[in-house]
Amino acid sequence: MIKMRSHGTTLIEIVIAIAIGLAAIVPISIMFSQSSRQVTKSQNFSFAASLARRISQHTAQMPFSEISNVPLPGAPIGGNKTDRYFGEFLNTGTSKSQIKFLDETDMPGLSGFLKKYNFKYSVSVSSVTFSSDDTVKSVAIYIMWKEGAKDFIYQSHVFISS
Amino acid sequence: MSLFRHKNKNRTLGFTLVELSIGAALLAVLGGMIMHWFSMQRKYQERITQSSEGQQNILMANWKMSNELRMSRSILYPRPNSDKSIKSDTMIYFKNSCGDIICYFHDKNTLEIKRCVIPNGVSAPTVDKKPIAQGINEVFFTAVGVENRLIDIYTRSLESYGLESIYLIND
Repeated sequence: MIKMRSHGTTLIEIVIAIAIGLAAIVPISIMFSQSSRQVTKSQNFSFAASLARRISQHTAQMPFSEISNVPLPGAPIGGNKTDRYFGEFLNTGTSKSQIKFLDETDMPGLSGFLKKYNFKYSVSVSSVTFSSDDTVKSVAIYIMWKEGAKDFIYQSHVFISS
Repeated sequence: MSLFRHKNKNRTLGFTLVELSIGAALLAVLGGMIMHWFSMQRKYQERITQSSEGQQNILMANWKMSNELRMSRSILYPRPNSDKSIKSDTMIYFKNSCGDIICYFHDKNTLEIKRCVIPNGVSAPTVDKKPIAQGINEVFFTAVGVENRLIDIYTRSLESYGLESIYLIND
């Protein structure tokens, strides 16, 4: 009886071997998914930073009186053809009729990316008046997006003088 | 009796065809599952690497271009269309802070953004040996706003996207 057991493999031994195998595979799998999440997070953060920079640079060249609030919960980036920061996106032609917008028809890749993470922006403007002809607008730019069920926010400030 | 014992002894030492078949089938199923899992993980890792590289390519391209563009004297091309609509192209010409005419352009074959200096006289432009950025699938420079002082840059590297706007600070 003892001799027979020494030559074969019992069910318990197989179960233990599978358990050890799983114990090695599961942490590796988790490690991959975690690094993927980290890359997505950093990708979205740097994209949010570039969106905030775009808004700040556009704000810097806008007429002072036209710098106004975009209230919370924020305007979605893309899709809106009259949006002052993202409305008209590309035009490789020579007339207005050839303008491309940030929507599924004109920019499917970028539009899909923006929709996937639900990128939105909000602008909070506060004016500080030092004298009758010296006013500074403090513009807080918020970029918001979603990764799964988790909400993310990126904040940036720009000061525009009259 | 001795023959029976002998047969029994043999069975304990070896495997029957059925046992071998079951073993092989189990091994094939388990091996297939593990191989599939490994190939999935490999694809996953490739996507992570590509995404990370794409993001880095865009950051590097935007950083290098914005440094020179921000301080430039004027943007020569692209300029808004005559009906005041925005104008985009895969190249940009501008006069840098030293007064040299510089061009950034996208090379579709090598997926690079290159920089070249355009001489004032009649001679060929000199392309920098080192490209501004590599691994860039798409780039568009868009002229926006009054006096052509605001340039939007849209870049795509693999599945990563980058938006950059540069307002010329040089008067």
